[in-house]
Amino acid sequence: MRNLELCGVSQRYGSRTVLRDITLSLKAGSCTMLYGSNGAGKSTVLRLAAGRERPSAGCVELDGRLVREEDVYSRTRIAAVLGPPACYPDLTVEEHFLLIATSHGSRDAPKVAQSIVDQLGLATHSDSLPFQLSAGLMQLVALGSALARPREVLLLDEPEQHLDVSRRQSLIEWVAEDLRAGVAVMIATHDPQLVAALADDVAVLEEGHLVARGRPADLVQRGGAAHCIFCGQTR
Amino acid sequence: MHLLRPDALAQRARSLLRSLRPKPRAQSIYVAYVVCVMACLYVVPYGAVGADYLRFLDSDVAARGAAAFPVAVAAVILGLLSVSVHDGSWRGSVRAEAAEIDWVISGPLSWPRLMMSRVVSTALTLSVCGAGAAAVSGAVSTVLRHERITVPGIVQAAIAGAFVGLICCACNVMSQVFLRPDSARVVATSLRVGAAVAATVALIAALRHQGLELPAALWWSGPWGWMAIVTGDVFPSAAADTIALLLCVALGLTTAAVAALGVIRIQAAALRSRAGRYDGVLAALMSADTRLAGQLTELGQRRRPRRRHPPARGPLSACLWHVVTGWVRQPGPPAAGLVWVAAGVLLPTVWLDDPPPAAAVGVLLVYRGVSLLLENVRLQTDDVHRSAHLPQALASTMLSVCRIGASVAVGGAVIVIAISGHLGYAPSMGSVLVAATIPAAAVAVAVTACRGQLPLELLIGAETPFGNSGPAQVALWFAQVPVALVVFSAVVSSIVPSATGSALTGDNAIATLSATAASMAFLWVMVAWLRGRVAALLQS
Repeated sequence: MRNLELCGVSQRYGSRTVLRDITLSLKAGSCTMLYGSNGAGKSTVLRLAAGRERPSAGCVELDGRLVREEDVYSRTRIAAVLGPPACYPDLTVEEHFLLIATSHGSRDAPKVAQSIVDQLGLATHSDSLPFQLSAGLMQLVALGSALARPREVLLLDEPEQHLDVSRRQSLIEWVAEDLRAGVAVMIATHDPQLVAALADDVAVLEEGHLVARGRPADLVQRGGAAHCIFCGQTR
Repeated sequence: MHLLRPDALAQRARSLLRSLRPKPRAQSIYVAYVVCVMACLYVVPYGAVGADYLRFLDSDVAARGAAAFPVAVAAVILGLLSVSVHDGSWRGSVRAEAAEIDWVISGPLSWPRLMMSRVVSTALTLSVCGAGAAAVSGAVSTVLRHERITVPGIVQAAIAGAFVGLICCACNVMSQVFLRPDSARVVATSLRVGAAVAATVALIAALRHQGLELPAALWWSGPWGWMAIVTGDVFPSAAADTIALLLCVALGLTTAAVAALGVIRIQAAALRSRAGRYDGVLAALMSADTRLAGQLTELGQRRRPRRRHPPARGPLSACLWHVVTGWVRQPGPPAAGLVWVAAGVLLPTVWLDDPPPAAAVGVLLVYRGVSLLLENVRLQTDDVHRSAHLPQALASTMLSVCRIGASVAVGGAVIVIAISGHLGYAPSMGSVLVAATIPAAAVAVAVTACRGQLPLELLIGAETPFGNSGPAQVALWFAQVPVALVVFSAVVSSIVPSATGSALTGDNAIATLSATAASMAFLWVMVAWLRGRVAALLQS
C-alpha cells in the first residue's frame, strides 16, 4: 500500500511565500480534497506532490523516497492531471492513449486505448487531432491519459473544468473505481458535488496555510474560519 | 435602429459580392504574364539550343543544354511553386497568422509597411531557395560533366539562381491587385533595386578582375545563364554574359517595381475572406514553413479517417512508433532532412581542394538535416508536460528520439557514401568525419530545442568600439549549438589533417579512428549539455 507524504512543505516564489508548513498524507484507497479560494495554494500543493516543483522547505515522499518528476519510480506510480491539458499535436485521441498504455508495458494496449475511448464517450473523436477538439474534449483526453496508465496515486487539479453534467457524474464514477482499486487520490476542486461524492478527507487552505482538515461532516459541524471557507464555497 | 429596404439591401449585397467576384480580365492578363515569364525563362533558351542543334548538329551546344537540364528542373519546380498559386494570388503569411494580423490592424503599426516587410521576407526566402537550388544543381551538373567545382563558380550560380526567386515573388505579388500608378513609389523602388543590382554587378566585375571566368557558371542555373545562351550567338562572348545579366535585371526590376506598387493596396480583410486552405498550404510552402503546411493539410483532411499504423509491440518500441507516426503523417520534413544529410556527407567528397571548410559546411548541412528528422524533439520541449504520463524522464525520451533520428541519418549517410563510391567517387576522410558527427549533431538539435527563452539581459548588451554588443550576443545565443559544431569540426580537421584532404584508404585508418573518437567525445559533451538543459527547463 502506497503512502504519499508531504512533510512540513513550504514554497516560495522569490520573496512571496505561497505555502507554509503544509503536512499531509495520502493513504491508499482514500480521497483527499483540497479546498480553498483562488490563490490559496491548492495547485501548488498538487505540483509539489507530483514532483513538478521542489519545495523550498520540507519534503515530499512516496514510500520513503523523494518524489521528483524526473525519477522513474515517481513517474510510474503517480498520475497527475494538472493545469491546461498538454497533448502531442501529431497524435490522435486514440493514439495518445495507445502511446501511454504501450509505454507503460500494457499487455494489450490497443484494447486498453479502445476501452478508454468508449468509456469517455470519445468514439466520434477518436481519430481527431488535439487542435480539432474543444476545451471539454481536451479535458477528457487529459483525464483519459491518466486512466490509460497504471497508477497508485492520482492527482487531479479541478478535473471538473469544462465538463458537462453527465461527464462530471462519469468522473465521479471513474475516481470511485480507482478508490476501490486502492489508488490514493488527491483532488483540488471547487465542485461541492465532487466533495460530497468522493471526499474521505478535506484539507482547507487559506493563503498558503492549512487551516483545517477532517471529514466533510466534521468540518461543517466544527465552525470557525474553516467552516466559513468550506461552507461558503460549497454553498 | 436604421433598417435597409430590401432593394437597398440587395444592392449593398451585390456591391459587396462584386469585389469578391473573379476578375476575368485581370486573370487573363496574369495568365498571359506568367506564360511570357515562363517562356522567357525556359522555352526560349531551350528552343534556341534545340534549333542550334538541329541546324548545325553541334554536339557542344547539345552538351551545354544537357548539362543545364538538372538545374532547369530544380528552377522549374521553384518557379511553378511560386507562380501557379490558385487565382494568381499572393497570400504571404497572412493566412497563417490571422491572429497576429487582427492584432496589427487594431494596433498602431503601419499596414503598408507590414505588407512590404512580408514581401521582402518572401522575396528573400525565394531568392535563397533559388540560390541554393542553383548552387546545388550546378554542382551536380558539374560533377556529372567530370569537371572541378570552384567556390566562385558556386557563388555565381547562386547569384543567378536568386533572380528566379525574385522574379517569382514579384509575379505573385503583382497579381494580387490591380494597380494604380504612383510614380514616386516606382522611382523609389527602382532606385533601391537598382542599387542592389549595381552592387551585384560590381561584385561580378571584381570577380572577373581577379581573372575568374564567368561563362563557366552560366550553364549552371537561372535566367541569367539561359539568356546568355541566346545572346551568346548574337553578341561577342565577352559581352554576352553582361547583356544577359542586364536583361535579367530589367525583368526583375519591372516586376519588383510593379509588385511594390500593388502590395500596399492588399486589404487584410479581403485576403482573409478569400484565402482558402489550398492558398494557406501554398503560402506556408512559399514561406518555407513546412510544419504549418502540414498542419493546414491535416486540417483539410478533418473528415477523412486517420491513417492507421501498426501499434507498437512494447515499451521499447513506443518511442519509435511515435516518431515514425509523425514521419508518416508529415513525410516532407524527414525526406528533406535526408536530402540535407546526403548533401552534407557528399560535400567533402566533391570539394576536395578546400577540405576544412567543406567539413564545417558539411557538418552544418547534416545538423540542418537531422533537425528536420527530429521534429519530435521539438514537440517534447514545446511543452515539457506532454510526456508527463510516459514512464521515462524527459531527457531519456529526448535521447531515445535522438537515437532513432541519428540511426536513420547514419543509415542514409552510409548508403550515400556507398553509392558515390560505386559511381567512382571515392569517399574522402572529410565525409567520414561528417558522418561520424551525426549522433552528436542529433543531440545538438535536442540541446537547441530546449534552450528555453532568450535571456532579456542579452538584448541590452554593452557599448564597444564597434557599437552595441546586444545584437551579436542574441545572434550567438541562438546559434550557439551550430557554432559549437562548426568549431568542433574545424578543430578536428586541423588536428587530423589527413582526415579531410585525402580519399579514404587503409593508410589513414588512424586518422579515421581519431576523427571518430573525437566525434564520440563531442557526443558525450552534448549529452551532458542536454541533461543540464532539460533539468533547467523542468525547473523554469
